[in-house]
Amino acid sequence: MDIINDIIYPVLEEIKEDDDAEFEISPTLEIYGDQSIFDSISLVRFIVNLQDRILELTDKDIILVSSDIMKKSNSPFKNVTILAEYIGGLLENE
Amino acid sequence: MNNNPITFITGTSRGIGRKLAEHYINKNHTVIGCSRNNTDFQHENYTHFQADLRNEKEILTIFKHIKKTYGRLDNLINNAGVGVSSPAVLTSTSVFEDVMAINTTGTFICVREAAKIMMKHNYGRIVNFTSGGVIFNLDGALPYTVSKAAIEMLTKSFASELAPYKITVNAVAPGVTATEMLSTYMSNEKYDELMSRNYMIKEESTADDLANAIDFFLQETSNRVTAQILYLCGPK
Repeated sequence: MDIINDIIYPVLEEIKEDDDAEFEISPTLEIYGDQSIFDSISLVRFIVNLQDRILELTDKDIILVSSDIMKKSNSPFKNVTILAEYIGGLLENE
Repeated sequence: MNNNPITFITGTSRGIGRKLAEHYINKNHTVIGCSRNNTDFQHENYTHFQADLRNEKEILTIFKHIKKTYGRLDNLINNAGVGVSSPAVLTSTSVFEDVMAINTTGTFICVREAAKIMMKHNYGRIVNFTSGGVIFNLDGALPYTVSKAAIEMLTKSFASELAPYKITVNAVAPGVTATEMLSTYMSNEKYDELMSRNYMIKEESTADDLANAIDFFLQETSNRVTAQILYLCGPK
């Protein structure tokens, strides 16, 4: 399974459509940070939908956010590529 | 496709929860219910799960079923709860933790999981259960009142965070109701004293009184009603 194409991109497409947002979906798209495409409300919805999509495709109920994860300077939500690596690691350890 | 409102009610095997399940079935809702014990209630629009609110996995199973079967959840009524009667200094840690786990943590998990489903549709109505005992400082039931006070704050916090997704979160306090749960932890003497000293309306609430209040919170037109705590019988 391709985490970017099968998991992250469909969820981004869904949010983009729901919010009528204008951003280009790419591996370098910043999800959390100064140039983030999301406000806090969309970000929560994105993470919830992402967890849902992962459960749907892998039957694994993983938690993407812990209390300290957003504070890290190397946040796994920095961009799409980094997020995909993070999800891959979580799935491997499940 | 099921166009009925999808309503999940906890604690439906007896008492108020059972009556609420019947009430919403009669209003053409599709009702999902749960309780620790099984139930003899059967209806084509009712699905029952045997689940313990202390067990997160069992709760998650119900929400997975709701997501998979209906794809949405319109209403959550967090009715399930336990009460204990015990002087504070004689209350064991395990009793305290048990009441908090069922009443507060169980409610928290249900609201969180319901919200995840509701957020996708930008719609949801959540009603939690609190107690007049929080207002009039009911004594001899510390774990219960602490757990209910926590539910009031939980209600307001969730209401605030879920408002952008058009999900309302409110709580209702039933007043004193004649249920099996009450009779297990309160003597007739204490009950009479409770009624006369602490409530403005000294009559028992019925499940219909409660359904009337919950109906208001669940209405689509109650879209501006959130973070509200409604106490029946007017606790003093």
